[in-house]
Amino acid sequence: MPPFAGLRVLDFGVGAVGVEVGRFFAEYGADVVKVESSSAPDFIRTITPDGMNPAFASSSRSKRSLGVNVKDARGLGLVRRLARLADVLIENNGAGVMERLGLGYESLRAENPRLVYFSSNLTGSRGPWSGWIGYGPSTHPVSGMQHLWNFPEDEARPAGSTNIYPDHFVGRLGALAAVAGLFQRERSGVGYHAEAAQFEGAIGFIGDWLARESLAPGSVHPRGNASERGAPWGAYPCAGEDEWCAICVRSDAEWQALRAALGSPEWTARPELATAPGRIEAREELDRHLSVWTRTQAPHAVMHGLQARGIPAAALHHPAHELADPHLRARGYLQTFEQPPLGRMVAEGPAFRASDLPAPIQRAAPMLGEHTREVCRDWLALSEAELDALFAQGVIEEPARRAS
Amino acid sequence: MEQPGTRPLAGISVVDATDEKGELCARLLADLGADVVRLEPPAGAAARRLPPFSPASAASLSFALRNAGKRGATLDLASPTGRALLARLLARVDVFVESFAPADPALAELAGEQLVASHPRLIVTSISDFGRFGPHAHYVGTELTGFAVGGMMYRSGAAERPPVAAPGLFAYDAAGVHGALATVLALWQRLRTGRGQHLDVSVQESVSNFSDWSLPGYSVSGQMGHRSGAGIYSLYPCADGFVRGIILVKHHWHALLDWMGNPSELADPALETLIGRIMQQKRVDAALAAFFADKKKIEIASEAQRRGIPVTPLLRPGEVLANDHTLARGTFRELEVVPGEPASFPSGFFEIDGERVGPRERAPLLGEHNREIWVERVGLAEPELEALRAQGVI
Repeated sequence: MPPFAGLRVLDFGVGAVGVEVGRFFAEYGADVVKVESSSAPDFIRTITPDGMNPAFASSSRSKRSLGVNVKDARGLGLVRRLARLADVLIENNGAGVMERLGLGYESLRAENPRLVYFSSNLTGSRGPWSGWIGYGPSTHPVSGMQHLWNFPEDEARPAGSTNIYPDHFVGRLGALAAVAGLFQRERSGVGYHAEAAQFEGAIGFIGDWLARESLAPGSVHPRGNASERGAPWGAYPCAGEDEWCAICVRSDAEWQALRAALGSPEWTARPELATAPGRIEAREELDRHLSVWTRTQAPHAVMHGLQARGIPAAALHHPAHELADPHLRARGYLQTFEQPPLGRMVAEGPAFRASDLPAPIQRAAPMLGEHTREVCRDWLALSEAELDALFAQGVIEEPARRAS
Repeated sequence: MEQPGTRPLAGISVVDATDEKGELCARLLADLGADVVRLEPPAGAAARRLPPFSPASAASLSFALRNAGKRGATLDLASPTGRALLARLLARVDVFVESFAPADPALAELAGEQLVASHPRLIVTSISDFGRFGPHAHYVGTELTGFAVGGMMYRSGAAERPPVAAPGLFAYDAAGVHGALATVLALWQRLRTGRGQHLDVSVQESVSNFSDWSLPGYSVSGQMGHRSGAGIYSLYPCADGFVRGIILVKHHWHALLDWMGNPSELADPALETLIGRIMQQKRVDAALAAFFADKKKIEIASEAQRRGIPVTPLLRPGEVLANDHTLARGTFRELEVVPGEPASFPSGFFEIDGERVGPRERAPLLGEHNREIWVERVGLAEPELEALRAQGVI
């Protein structure tokens, strides 16, 4: 039996943070109900006009969708009845939004003290910048991450990335806090309200560099791909369009192994390169020479050739590489399922295999309101007549009704 | 004042024998209340040699960050005596976290399946670059190769420049949080089954989990995003640096136009949609840069946010440590790197019922709690401990 079988989760996630907490519970057997409405859908749905796209499908797979308008008093009443039965509630709306809707922790706890409630927003619920809104990429600048995500010579021209990774990370923190809350509840009988501010998630990743800045103000700058740990160390261009391989030489022995792989060319023979300080000193020169060699080979040829000699090397994977990766396939990482109307989709699996857990449950992500009837029947035992009345009043919705 | 044992994972005990890969795993468990023993070789974990370093004591700040709140003990796992002692320790705990290198001789005897076979209630969380099985399981890696093979690096950096690493130990912290999540899942499962299990956490897969659904997108459309710097989430220069604006939906755009005084050069129906603005990004960016040119980044962000527009300031490290918001929230706190050397570290990721829940104390010195662990916990006699010290086992 999956570990979360029997648990009920209400998912008010939007974007990435909350929805990925919900997905984790759904993959391991909880009944996860995504609460949304056509007037307030998860914005990731709305990237495409038909309300389904790979980003949404990946983040909301294996859940059920309840279409309900919580701004209607009857809709709010319905959701509050669900919250009385829920074990876990997840939300990542702006600070104060759930309270204004009548779904804040304090008011729900009064009726369900066993509820474990997780909230997350950009800048946290306290402090002068609380209430700030934004998306994953909004956390990079305000956490210091974006300034440091660069080459030292480009410091005046910040680069960074469009990636929303602090959202994925904080989503994992949310799942962790929610499961921990279930443990607490086993012991004490009551749940709790856990929060994680997204910008503090990003700060936690670079906390050592920020500590360094506190000890030596002005000393912390972008570092690019170089490392104090050795040289060569970086991403090297390979044959093909925008193909690269990361190579890291950690020790003198690995340097000798690299020399052998290259056929001991003359530029590697200088005695001062035999030790790490000499190689670090000559970093740029080594990078230049090594790039000439890597450009003649495909990234995986470099990777496998150097790994055969015990040197850390890995192709810079993009999704086409991931799909073709025999290692990811052998490990069962790639999850394949049918996602109407997109067809067959391959998505990321969990980042771990477990010796005593069932495989994660993979079901298509729901259309908005797809399970409205089911959820109202299963959780609240509403009759067909009651459901029809709520549909007629526009309080709840399902796909067919929405079209009419 | 916090009562002991009130954190959610109080009562869970963990032995953390990881090295640089996945130290965040047990740090997160410790933050949430688990009792964590950081087990190092007698010469010290290699993670103590990871940059950045304190300018005064030369201690690793990476180690200080990722091991805060753990207790420290030493043990030589290469010796049979050491492995026998580990077995005695593991008999008393719930979780063992390790990141042995593929070629490590300790691995054969300490493989997860075998440990679980001898300690049926134990959760063994193994964190490795490529995972413990599969054709690349024996491959070696670093933080950078994990970032690369996990699919994040090719999308990082400016379009006209080579891919660039994220700061910090991105790939290993990603594996750390997945390790912690897998561990609590297995602990929850154990409540029902009574059985422990082996968890095989891959750095590669952990990073891939953070790459914005690019894999499912590609599997459906055959298209993938390339690196483009800040991309469509533009950075706008201003009087004292940059701000990032994410003008995603119509009301963001209209609030922005309203703030700018509805300039005629942006009064274009083609700019009403996100796609339309992306098509003419240079034109929009130029107008915004001109509007922000004489304004300061924090003032811009504050006013934009007041108007419901998602804009954030690009802060330098010193500005992150000390701004009105982080100071008011207590985002940072003083924590010792080594005794007598305080630095500002993040206070922790979580707040529970309004209270910050983060590291309870600084990272341990090498073997700082050997007596507590080996005498009080495992039950060695004092002379035995002394003898093991003399043999270099502890």
